[in-house]
Amino acid sequence: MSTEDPTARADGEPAVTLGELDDAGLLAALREMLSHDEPPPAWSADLAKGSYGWQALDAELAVLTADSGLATAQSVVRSGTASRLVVFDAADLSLEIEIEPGDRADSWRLIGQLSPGTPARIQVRQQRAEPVWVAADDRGRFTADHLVGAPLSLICARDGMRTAVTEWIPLG
Amino acid sequence: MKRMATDNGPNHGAAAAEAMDDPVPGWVRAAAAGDARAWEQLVDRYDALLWSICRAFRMSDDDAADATQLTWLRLLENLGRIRDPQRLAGWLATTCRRECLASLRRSRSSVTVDDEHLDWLLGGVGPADQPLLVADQYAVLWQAFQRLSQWCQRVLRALVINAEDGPPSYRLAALELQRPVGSLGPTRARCLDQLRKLLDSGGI
Repeated sequence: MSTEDPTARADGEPAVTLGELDDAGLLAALREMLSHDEPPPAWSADLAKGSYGWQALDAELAVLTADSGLATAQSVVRSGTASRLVVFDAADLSLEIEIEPGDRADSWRLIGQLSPGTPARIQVRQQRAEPVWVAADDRGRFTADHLVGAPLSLICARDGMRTAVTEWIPLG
Repeated sequence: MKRMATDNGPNHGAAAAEAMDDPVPGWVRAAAAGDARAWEQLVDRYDALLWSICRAFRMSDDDAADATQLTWLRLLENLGRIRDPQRLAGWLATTCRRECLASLRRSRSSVTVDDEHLDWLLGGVGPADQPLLVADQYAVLWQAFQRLSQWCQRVLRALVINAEDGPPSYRLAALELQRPVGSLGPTRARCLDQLRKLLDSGGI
């Protein structure tokens, strides 16, 4: 497969064009698909539907630009530190958070820093948990405890500025 | 931001007619504007697709659930930015596959999959006898298959599930479907023809 194949994807997967497959190839493709065809558990769709409540209309998206948690579990253990550094960037705002294990098993805490460092109200959102508001101080620092092992997103509300919402990241 | 590249192929008559009947772009627009019911329609239509992709990575139920939920959250944060809503299934499949790969990388030390298979999953060369479908092709095939008649779905499923590593066993499929073996060849041909028509109109 040519590396310039326009149907090849950025993550390096080779491309198979379905229209080019003969009957045997089409049946093989079907087999690949149908061998993993168990229906999802009922709660899967329910949870996804319930996620709609997290939609932040009219907020500016702060995209993930760095996440040390994308390293493998092995490299995190080897480096001797269990904390994870995550950075989100919006047009005029950066949120840096450090996530580390909390006091209890299966709990985490985060320490955050806004740039520019100004006061703000930060909403910590996690799937399957109630949202929590914390305050960022006059230097833009904030903390949140008792995070659970579920996807995480933050909202940042500053006076006179557009609300920012971060992408969702996995946790736990 | 992880933009998904999509091919905007020529809009032939059949594809255009298909597009007019496709409710998905309308659901995406409505959900982007605050319509919860439209969101639920999208979930009902595609949750099984995401689950199937996760299961193809031999992930545990818990990890598959996490990757699936994160994929839905990614869609939620991008509803207003989907470039090609007619290919939403491909967008979802690609996003889900990336979440699965990220999940595997994070938990590499605890994955039970053997090393050769894991290398394949993380982008190496696959087993020679098995085609690797890129995520949006998987989504197109999945959607086309859902639109086959129930009978064709049963026939094709019986033929491929009974194939193992070799050609389909018509004898086993015939037993499962309770039909004469001789009828399966023509039925298979008819069903594959129908599948190809659905794939063509899906614009691959």
